[in-house]
Amino acid sequence: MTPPILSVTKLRTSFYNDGAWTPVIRDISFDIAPRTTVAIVGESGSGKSMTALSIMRLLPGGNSKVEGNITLAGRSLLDLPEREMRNVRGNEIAMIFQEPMTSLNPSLTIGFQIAEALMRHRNMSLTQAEAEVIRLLDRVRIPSAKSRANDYPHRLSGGMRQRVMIAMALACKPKLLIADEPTTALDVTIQAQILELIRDLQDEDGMAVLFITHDMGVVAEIADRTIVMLRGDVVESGDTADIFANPQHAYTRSLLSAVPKLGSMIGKTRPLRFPLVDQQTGIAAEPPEGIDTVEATKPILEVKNLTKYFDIRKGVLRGLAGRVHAVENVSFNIYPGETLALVGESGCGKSTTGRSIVRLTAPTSGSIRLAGDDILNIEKSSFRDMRKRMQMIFQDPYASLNPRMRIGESIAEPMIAHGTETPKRARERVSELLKSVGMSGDVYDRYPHEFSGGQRQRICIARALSLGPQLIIADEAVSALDVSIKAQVINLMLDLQERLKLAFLFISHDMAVVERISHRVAVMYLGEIVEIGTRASVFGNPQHPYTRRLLSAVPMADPSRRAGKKRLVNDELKSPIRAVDYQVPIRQFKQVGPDHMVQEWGAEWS
Amino acid sequence: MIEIVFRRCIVVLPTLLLVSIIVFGMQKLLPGDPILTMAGEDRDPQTIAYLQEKYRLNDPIPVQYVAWLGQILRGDLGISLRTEQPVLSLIAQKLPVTIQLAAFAMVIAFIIGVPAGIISAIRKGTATDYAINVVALSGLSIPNFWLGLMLILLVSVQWQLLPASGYTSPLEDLSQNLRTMIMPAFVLGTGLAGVLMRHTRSAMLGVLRSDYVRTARAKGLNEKTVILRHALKNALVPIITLSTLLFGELLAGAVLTEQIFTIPGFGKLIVDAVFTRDYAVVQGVVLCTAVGFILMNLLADILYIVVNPRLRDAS
Repeated sequence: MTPPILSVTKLRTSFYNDGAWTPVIRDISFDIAPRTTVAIVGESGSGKSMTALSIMRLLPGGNSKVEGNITLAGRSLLDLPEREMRNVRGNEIAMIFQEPMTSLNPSLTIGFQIAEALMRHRNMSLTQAEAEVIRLLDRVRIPSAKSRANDYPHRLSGGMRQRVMIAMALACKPKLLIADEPTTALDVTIQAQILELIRDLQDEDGMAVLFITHDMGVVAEIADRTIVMLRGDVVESGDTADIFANPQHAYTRSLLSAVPKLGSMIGKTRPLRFPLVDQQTGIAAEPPEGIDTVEATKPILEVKNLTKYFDIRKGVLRGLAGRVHAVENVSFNIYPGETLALVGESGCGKSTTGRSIVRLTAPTSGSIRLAGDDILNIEKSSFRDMRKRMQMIFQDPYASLNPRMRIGESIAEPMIAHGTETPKRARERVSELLKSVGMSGDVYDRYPHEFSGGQRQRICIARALSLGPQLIIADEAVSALDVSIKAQVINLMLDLQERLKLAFLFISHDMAVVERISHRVAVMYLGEIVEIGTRASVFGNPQHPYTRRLLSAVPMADPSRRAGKKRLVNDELKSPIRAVDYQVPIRQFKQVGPDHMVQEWGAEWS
Repeated sequence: MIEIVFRRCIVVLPTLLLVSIIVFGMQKLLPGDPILTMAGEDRDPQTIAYLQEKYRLNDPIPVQYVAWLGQILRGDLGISLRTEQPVLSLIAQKLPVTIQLAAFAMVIAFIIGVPAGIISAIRKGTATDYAINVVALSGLSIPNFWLGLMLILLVSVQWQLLPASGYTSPLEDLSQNLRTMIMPAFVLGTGLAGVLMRHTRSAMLGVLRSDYVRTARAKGLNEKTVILRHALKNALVPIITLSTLLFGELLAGAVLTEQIFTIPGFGKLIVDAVFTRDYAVVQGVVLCTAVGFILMNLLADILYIVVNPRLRDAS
């Protein structure tokens, strides 16, 4: 057997807090062999990123300490003086991070930032380094690398920036690449491209990869070996295929069962709850079959020809230079008790559609009817009453609760503002609402920071329910949550739908979650709905090339299906920015099945 | 980029216009009729009529304003009632003195404040950090006039190193000029250094936590490069705004220090003009200060664009 490139034994990382050392990683050990990919998987707080930073010795000095043994190619990293450790960083071990948007220095060109690593470790001059940079940018498949090298990061999309980060990391041909959630902030199609790129480059350079992620689907895609971490401990490690086929630890099983698996809903017509696994026993409780909640009589929401343009102004006189066609001629209905999912990637206009419906942004044209009442052409004052009937839940439960307000006050505020409850009675209602979202009723006086992300999202849901709405617009409401929490919140939403006959407009980029929760699905691309139909039909018989591409890009939580994947299209998402005189093409739709329409597409998709 | 700079300059115009209206309005609102004063004791109606005609006071106010604005644009700020010199030449004499003093003070503030802020951010929570903060706070809390007097006592009276007061033009004798300027500039500069230090510290702390600084470290760069090349450049943005505002404030706000060191600067001009009701001078000074502030803001905007590449593209 070849000796491992990296060997971690009894690694223990602690932070100094309130006068005591609290370990965040407890005595973990693992090896990485050359040319292999090891994934560390776990949810937030599991210590997976801390492990990476401990290996790099990038934890803040003073209030952190790393014990144990880390050897890279026979050299003990923890014993190296800082000077020599700097020669290791970026040279023998390189790292890429989760947030490509903020991980590049905004005031230096990308070319220089890559060249820096070469000048530092390879003693190249700036001119030599710049030539090499162009070769590297080519390798990570950045089009027109030569001119791109002089760009500042803000000119590049998230996917492109992550490619730059990879180019920077690979500049000195490291023995080990640590990738800390490198695709989490990216769209699925871009994620698939980046994963493929990392795999290809690994084949060419023969480096080892330590891949940190929370996504079992990504693990199945990329890892040879898998390490499962829970609250600072390794609970299970082994061959990826073995772990997926035969998970030993209860937590691994609960992680796996919480992973939405695309295709698991074949033959089912109604939404299905996630099975919840008891973390002690590891036994999955089969989810109860849902009841039919849809009342297909009179739609609660009718959206017709909704269009929203944003003007782009340029020049000294601020003349109209173009328009962002954020939402283009979008029409759909939602019936009481029904969930319509609006799926698509960043910039496709799905959030703008949601915001237009609650009039957080004024649509350019189109009509929106709530239970038959036109809500666009009415006075602000009468629209206030309409607001009671539809509410919104946002993506970030941390940012959408006022940190200075007690959570009870946050939940009670809409009721008091609309005068539906007196402040006195509101308190009782709040406690009922909290119970209905599965929380204890007596947390009224606590502040948001005392709750976890999942709990906060429950609080946001309770707030949205406080006015007894018929329609809830959930804009990426579960995207920021850990998988197991995500499953719980989705189950809660399904419970509430059964109990209160709620209709949901579920805006999401996560195809696998959408498959579970929705009755019908609308796929958006560049502001337009390209395909809409029942969930079973759209997922079972996708017609539009974009729908197919989206579905094929979703990582499968099944390592055995990895081999059969076809090569991906390597292009960026197109931009919805159009010239002022742009003629919107007239789109034809064709019927695929009962309640399944697809937009006819042109040569650009062949 | 040139387009953006040009646009910023154009945006300044309405502000300047507004300032001129306010200054003009102020003059109209002042109590007392200057014509009556000029007409003398006997208030001969003919003289009054003549004067009103001469100064076009019978015209409607907007017409008067336009005429006045025309004068200002031609550089005619009126005549000082006290010294009977043109206001413009008074300002032209005094302003450079204060600009030199202010620039000198800013340099001192920068030399002390920015490095202190960087060090205190890097050594956050250590004894060094606390020491720097204590010194900065003292710098902020010690009144300029007191520090000035103490320095005069110590440096000029006790040690006899520097002149206690007076001013020499740099064109006449540069070294004497520096000798007279260094103490007042130091007094002004130390006060500002504290402000600069606090802002540099908090800007640096924010930037040092950022992802791209982590990236720079992960590249294996040494701390000096990480801090100077990757962190400082991005932390400069708030410091630039602050310094241009501070500089603007110094132009009109060095009054006390100028009085103590008897420097014939802009501040002294203001004080003298106010005490002697020399309205023409007050008006000129107010106009000049406002324009100075606006120009400093413009400079800040332009520097932003230089420092922050994102703004170069901003439409």
